[in-house]
Amino acid sequence: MKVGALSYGGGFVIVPIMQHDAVATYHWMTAAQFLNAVALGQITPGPVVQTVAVVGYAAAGVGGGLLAALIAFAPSFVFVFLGGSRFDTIRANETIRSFFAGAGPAVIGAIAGSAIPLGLSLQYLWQVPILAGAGIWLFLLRRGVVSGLLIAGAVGVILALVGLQV
Amino acid sequence: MSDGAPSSPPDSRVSLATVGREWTRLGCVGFGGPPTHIAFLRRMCVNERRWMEAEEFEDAIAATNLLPGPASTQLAIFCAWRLRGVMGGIVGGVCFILPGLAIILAFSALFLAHHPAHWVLGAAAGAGAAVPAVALHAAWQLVPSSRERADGLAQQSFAGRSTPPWEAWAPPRSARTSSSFSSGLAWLRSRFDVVANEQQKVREGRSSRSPRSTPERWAASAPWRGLP
Repeated sequence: MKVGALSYGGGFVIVPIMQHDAVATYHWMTAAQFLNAVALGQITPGPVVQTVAVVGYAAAGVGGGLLAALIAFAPSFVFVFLGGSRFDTIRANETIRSFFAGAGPAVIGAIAGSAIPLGLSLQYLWQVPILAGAGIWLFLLRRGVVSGLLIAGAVGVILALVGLQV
Repeated sequence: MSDGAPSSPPDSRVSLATVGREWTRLGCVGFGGPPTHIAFLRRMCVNERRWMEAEEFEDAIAATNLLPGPASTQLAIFCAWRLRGVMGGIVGGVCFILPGLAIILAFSALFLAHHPAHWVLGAAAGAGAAVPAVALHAAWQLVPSSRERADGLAQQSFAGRSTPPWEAWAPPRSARTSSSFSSGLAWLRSRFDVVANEQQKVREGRSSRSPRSTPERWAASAPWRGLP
């Protein structure tokens, strides 16, 4: 419910919200598994918020995944059904715009800050060059997130088959 | 929308089956996150099927960006709701969400199994290694829109004033927009001149009472004072 009702600024803002609860508070998954959940949310079609389903699955199987998705997406339906005809008013409301203009930098900080615990979750030394390569792929070459994650996954498969520890 | 219906009548030509089919297709091919979803929805609802006016669609994008929650999902629900009311919104939203949900649950079973295959562990560790970079990239991509939003509000807030407060010490627009060294130097010199002039006034006021202090002598002979 927190993810669906409080997240603002794109799908990735759910990461810092969920990470603490799923890994540290409830121990539903390890830090490395949480990394996988985030990657899956990015490479699958549809909303990025689907990441909650992986966390739900880790907590209580398929039922947990479905329940997590249902609860996370329910507020979106409510917001649209209650506010859809007032979208032009919402857009023009200076108070609402001011609130979210102020929240914007905090969201950016939260997402960027989540990179630190995510980076500390890496378990093997061979993952560091992949991280560096992903940074080059995204920031210098300006290529897509999905293709970057798929390539990183393919490299991981090759390295695992070669015999590196996973 | 207090009565649960769109402000203008839904398009009765669009059946719930059409909404279900088109939004399922969107949910199946919508790789790449919100930008992809918005592009698909715009092409379908505005350009090809002409179910919505472009202006209304842009309003909806702006409003869903202001609402908490996943913005592109809300936009997909809104477009379906706009066509067929609450039932259309439910059908469209569910059909948009379900394909990705099914795929991600299948992957969850694979990756979170008790004893996953060696290659699955490798794929997970490889893709997981890239995630911190993806997080930084996601934050970086929000910077322009956040700055634009803040600039827009600031301009609106200070529309009645000749100069916003921070402009008093900010570089002039010419210095901000130009990368030339001379513009920056000229601005620096003007700022130092302001300080030096203030100190000169202080000195003139004090000259009859006390000799100059060392900082004042430094200010009087400051190198920028000789710049053209």
